[in-house]
Amino acid sequence: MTSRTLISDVSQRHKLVLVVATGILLRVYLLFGTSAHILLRDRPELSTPQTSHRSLKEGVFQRINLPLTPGSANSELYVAIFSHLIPFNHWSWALTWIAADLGTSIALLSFANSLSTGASLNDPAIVASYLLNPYSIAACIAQATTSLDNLCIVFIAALAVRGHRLASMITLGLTAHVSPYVILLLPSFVLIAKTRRPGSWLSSVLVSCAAYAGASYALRIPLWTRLLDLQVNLKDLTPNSGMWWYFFTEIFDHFRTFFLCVFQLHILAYVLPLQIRLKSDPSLVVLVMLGTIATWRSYPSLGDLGLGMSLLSCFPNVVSDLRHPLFTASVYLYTAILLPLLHALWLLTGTGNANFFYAATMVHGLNSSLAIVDIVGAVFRSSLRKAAGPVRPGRERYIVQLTGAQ
Amino acid sequence: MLLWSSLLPILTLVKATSTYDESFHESLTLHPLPDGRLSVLFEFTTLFSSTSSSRRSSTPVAQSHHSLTPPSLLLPLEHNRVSELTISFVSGRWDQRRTGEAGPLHHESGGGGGEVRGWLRNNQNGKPDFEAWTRVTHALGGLFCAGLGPSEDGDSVNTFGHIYPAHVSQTNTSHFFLPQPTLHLCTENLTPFLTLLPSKGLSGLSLLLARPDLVFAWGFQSEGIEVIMPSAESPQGRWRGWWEGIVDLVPPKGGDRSFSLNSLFKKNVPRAFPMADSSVLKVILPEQEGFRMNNVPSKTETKWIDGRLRNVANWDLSHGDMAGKDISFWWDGEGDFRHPRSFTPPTVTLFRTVIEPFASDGTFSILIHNTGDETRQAVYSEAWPWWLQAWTHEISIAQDKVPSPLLITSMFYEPSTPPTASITTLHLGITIPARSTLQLKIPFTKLTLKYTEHRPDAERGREIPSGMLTFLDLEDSDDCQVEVSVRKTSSDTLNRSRCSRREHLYTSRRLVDLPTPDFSMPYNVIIMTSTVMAVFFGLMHGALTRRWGYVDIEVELDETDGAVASNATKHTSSKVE
Repeated sequence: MTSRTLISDVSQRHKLVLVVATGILLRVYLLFGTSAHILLRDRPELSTPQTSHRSLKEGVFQRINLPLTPGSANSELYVAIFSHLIPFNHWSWALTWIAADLGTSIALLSFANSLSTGASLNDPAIVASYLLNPYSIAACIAQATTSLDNLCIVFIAALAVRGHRLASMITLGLTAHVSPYVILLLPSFVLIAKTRRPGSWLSSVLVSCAAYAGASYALRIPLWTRLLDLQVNLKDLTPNSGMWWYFFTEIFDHFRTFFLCVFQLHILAYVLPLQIRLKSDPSLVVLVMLGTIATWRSYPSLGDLGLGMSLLSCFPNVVSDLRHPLFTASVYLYTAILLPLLHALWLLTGTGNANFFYAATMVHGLNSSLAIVDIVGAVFRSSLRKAAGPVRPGRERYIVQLTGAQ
Repeated sequence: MLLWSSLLPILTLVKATSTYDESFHESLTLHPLPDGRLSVLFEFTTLFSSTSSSRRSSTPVAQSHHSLTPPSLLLPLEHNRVSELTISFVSGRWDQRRTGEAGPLHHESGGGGGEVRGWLRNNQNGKPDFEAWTRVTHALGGLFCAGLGPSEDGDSVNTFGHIYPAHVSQTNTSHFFLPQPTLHLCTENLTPFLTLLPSKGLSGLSLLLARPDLVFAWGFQSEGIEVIMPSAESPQGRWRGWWEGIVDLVPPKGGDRSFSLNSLFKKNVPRAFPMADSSVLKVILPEQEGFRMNNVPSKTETKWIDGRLRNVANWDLSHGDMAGKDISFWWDGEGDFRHPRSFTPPTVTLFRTVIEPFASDGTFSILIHNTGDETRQAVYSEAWPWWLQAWTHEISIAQDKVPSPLLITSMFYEPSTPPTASITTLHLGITIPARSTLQLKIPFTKLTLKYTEHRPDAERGREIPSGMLTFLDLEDSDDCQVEVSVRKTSSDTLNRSRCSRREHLYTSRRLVDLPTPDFSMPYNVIIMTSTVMAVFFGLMHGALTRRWGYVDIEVELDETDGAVASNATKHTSSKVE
């Protein structure tokens, strides 16, 4: 090792420590030093009825004090964990969320470094993409369980990419209890784990199902959990940053079932084509599917988007081939202002109506959709660039999408 | 005259048999309030028993139209196996701080709007019989010209049994409670009410009530019926109807408060209803000195009313010599009535507001003042429509602005089950310390309703039923009477808040606005959301199915400004997947 790489290694390590320290201190300050957590706690952009801190607290309170009531809309798994393992006070809960974010960034780093993309990774940037990501910070301060879901998902990814097939599948089975849409990532994780450590895909799926059923049995809840029922049938129409709530508020009752199927199948429809088209690297499917889920799931929150962005930073080749990252970022900035503003106009001051907030969610959703398509394009562009080899001197390479089917 | 003399023995015979089976009692209570107004309460009670009238029929209830009981009221109750039923309509708001009284004179009056509550026998499976309940409420709704029945399944709730315990305890019955805060007492309700009475508004005290022009000019009004059906265990049944209102005594341009039956009802004492076993005028005498009347009462009794010992003057109106007379009341030497600056408040008052009233959520703030010297035990109850849900972990209570969570002794919470219509119920056991003000805060969230679930006039909001405070520690009237004889000699003010028969205090109902969608938008929303989805699907489809290729273009460096110029003619291209 030359002295030059050693120096860069040392400076990298310093930067990493600096990023982690900044991220943690920022969270500690916002959670303990300010009242930001009270301000952000009920923001519909950050927490949905099933992930909000308030309803989790309600569930824990009712589980302890009012055992006969059915409890809150949160996952029973979280309610059980927070009733029995974590003391019911602000300090312990806030520290749990900070620890979860730290865990997510470590798992993210581990995931990125085990990928065989061949690109040189910038560790501090990857950690910063989660710990200093405004969406992740906001989700952590709001103490929405989205942060914990994110930890679970990245943890599965890190386990899968390191070849811990059994552990990753068990985690996935458990995560399905708290974030049902993770089931859509099952094929990708099975394939990722399989490339590292060969084994039957069927056994992986069965292990996952067994973990899910085992948790159901241990918690004495049905396999079709209340959370799953809510997310599949959209039984709560509380506004959020997604595309579903206003559509299903306004839809005529006799079309409701039909459109529920359309909206759910729409997400499901991308699993197989992405799997086929990107079979060379299933971890990219995870990236694209996470983005799709964060945009089109029934109860999305900005925290989901934060995870998608962080995962994107694990693929520097893809990032460098994005067509319009500046446009995407500025529209996200725009909607970050627009969403709370128009929500307040509608529900707090009463000077606007529901269409205002709906318009903001439309802009947000469309921007996310375009960003996902951009990522898919960038995936193909970077792989083509890699396959085509170096450019001859004096020439510049343009990668284009051709008309006509494959 | 001949006809009369021949009819008289028959009439007396009918009366003699009917007193054996059925008896009818009517009373009119007047209660001058300290703010220059008068509470007027008509009560009509019919006692009936199941034994005699059912000798020839299969049902225990008389079906004939020459009995005192109205078959149109009792038959639906009987068919639907009702054991007890109370219907109450209230219009206007009872302001405890302005009247100095805890609530209307009739204690069975509910909170704001209408409500139906009762005990029904369980069905064959031993479960609450919701179908029978729906049938009976719809049937009585027809009787009262009001939509009393539940507009959706799940509007009724079963968790108020301990709040409204049965008068006659029976096994295998369930309580039903159907709050209808949007209902009002209106002109259409008077005629059906009078029709149910045996005197039909033609004689006796009901004649005074049969004046819709006067009755509906009263401020606060409450009407209701309470039926206790006879059963095998207790063959005595009872149905009671009441009508109550508040009359302003002071003329609009000022003056004194003198009033008489004639000034109130534009009629003197009506001729007695012959079937009535008693017909009484009661006046609850004001606590201030100087109240006079032109007619000596037949008797005066002392009674505990809302924790205060009051003198009540009684006139027996069934005496023939009372008919046609007027009874007047006045205050000695009173010039123009001056509204008092302060009242003696009722010992316990209840007041509910919504603080932070946003369209998406808010907080109920319930103020309970106890001015008495006794610590009270009570239950505070709420029944909300399903789209209103409380945050039980954030419920807080403060005594004189100091948080004191121990004052909440118990909590029962039954959340609704959205999206199906149901009722959220909350019962909080509360200790109310003597001479204190409690503030109870209940934060809540309003769910977003579907476009089709909003009822008409959604932009205005929806009424929330009254909150209610139920006292658990009321004292037996016998104990209180003993107290009277002991303390009569001493000069203490006789104020014992627990000596009262008022079990419930009600807040006013509350209009709550909802987060409403734009009702003109369904097509636009469907089209626009579908477009975004189609754009995403189309672009993804394109990205995944089309081929990708690359073009290498020769670039020349322009010497002068360093810009890149391309020479498109000299390119080589190669296509890879």
